[in-house]
Amino acid sequence: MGLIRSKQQMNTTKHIHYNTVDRKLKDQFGNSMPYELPDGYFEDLPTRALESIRHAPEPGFLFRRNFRRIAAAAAIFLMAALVITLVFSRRSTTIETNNEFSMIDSYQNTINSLADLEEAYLMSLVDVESLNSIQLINDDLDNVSDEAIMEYLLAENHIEYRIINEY
Amino acid sequence: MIDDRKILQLSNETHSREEGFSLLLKKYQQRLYWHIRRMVIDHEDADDVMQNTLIKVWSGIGKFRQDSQLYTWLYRVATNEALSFIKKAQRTRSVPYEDGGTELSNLIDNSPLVSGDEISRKLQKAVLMLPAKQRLVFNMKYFDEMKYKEISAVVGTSVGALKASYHLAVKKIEKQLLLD
Repeated sequence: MGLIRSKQQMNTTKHIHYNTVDRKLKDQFGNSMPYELPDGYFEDLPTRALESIRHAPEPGFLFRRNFRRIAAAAAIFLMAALVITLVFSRRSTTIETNNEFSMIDSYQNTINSLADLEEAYLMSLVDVESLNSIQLINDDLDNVSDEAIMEYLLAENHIEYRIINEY
Repeated sequence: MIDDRKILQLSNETHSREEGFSLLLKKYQQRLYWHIRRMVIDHEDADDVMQNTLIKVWSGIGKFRQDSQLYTWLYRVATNEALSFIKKAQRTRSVPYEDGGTELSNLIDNSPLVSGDEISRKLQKAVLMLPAKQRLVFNMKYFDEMKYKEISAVVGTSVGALKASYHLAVKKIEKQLLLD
């Protein structure tokens, strides 16, 4: 009970405090102001205000008046952005494509070289007479089939069976 | 006493809009003018701000949702116009916003239509040393004797913050006047 009463007292005190915070100032200085007005200012104000309102641009007027210019500027900007985007993306595609082609070429060349080397190696292993013994039709090596050659080489353990991947 | 409801009713009809606006001016023009004048000091500047305020009131009154009192809405429009004017004027004159009080204080000494006795001039100069928003709160409480709740509706600050701001403003002014 005592606590509640003291809270009430505190609140009352706070209330009074805020009401009199400017009391000293008002007692000493009052609330008059040093400002003056031309004669008849408030009598003329409604007429002048309505005049200003009649001559004032409507809200959004500036935007509407300049709409064409704004739209034209926006269109030019978008076109320029589109052109720049296209030019730069094309350049990068061409460069990438050229790079790809050159990579494929050199890869193919490498495969071809390897193939040539492989064939040369394999051919060095071939014994013509032995090939004849595998019932070849003639001893002209150029006319011997690839399969016959492969059979011979496998039989003689010159090569192991392997899967050749096509590139 | 002109009723706000009548003002709004007339202002919302096209044929009676001017009549409603005239009634609004009759009721509120002095309060609005002095509220602006205390912020910008010079009469010509106050007149410019007042004209801009009334143009905004004319175009906005049809959209006024009546979720606040009419005069708090009017005060809010006038306050925003006055603060915009002060910021713009200081930018034009390259005066830092915080030092605007000195500029305005010079107007008390140099502006025509500012006379009054020494005491009221001293008080005004001391008030002008406050930051713009604190000065605004002080003016509305001290000169217009508005309630904190009404001031809160105008500036959008809580009642507690306003009480603290006003209390500090009074202390600063007292200190300033003692120094003088």
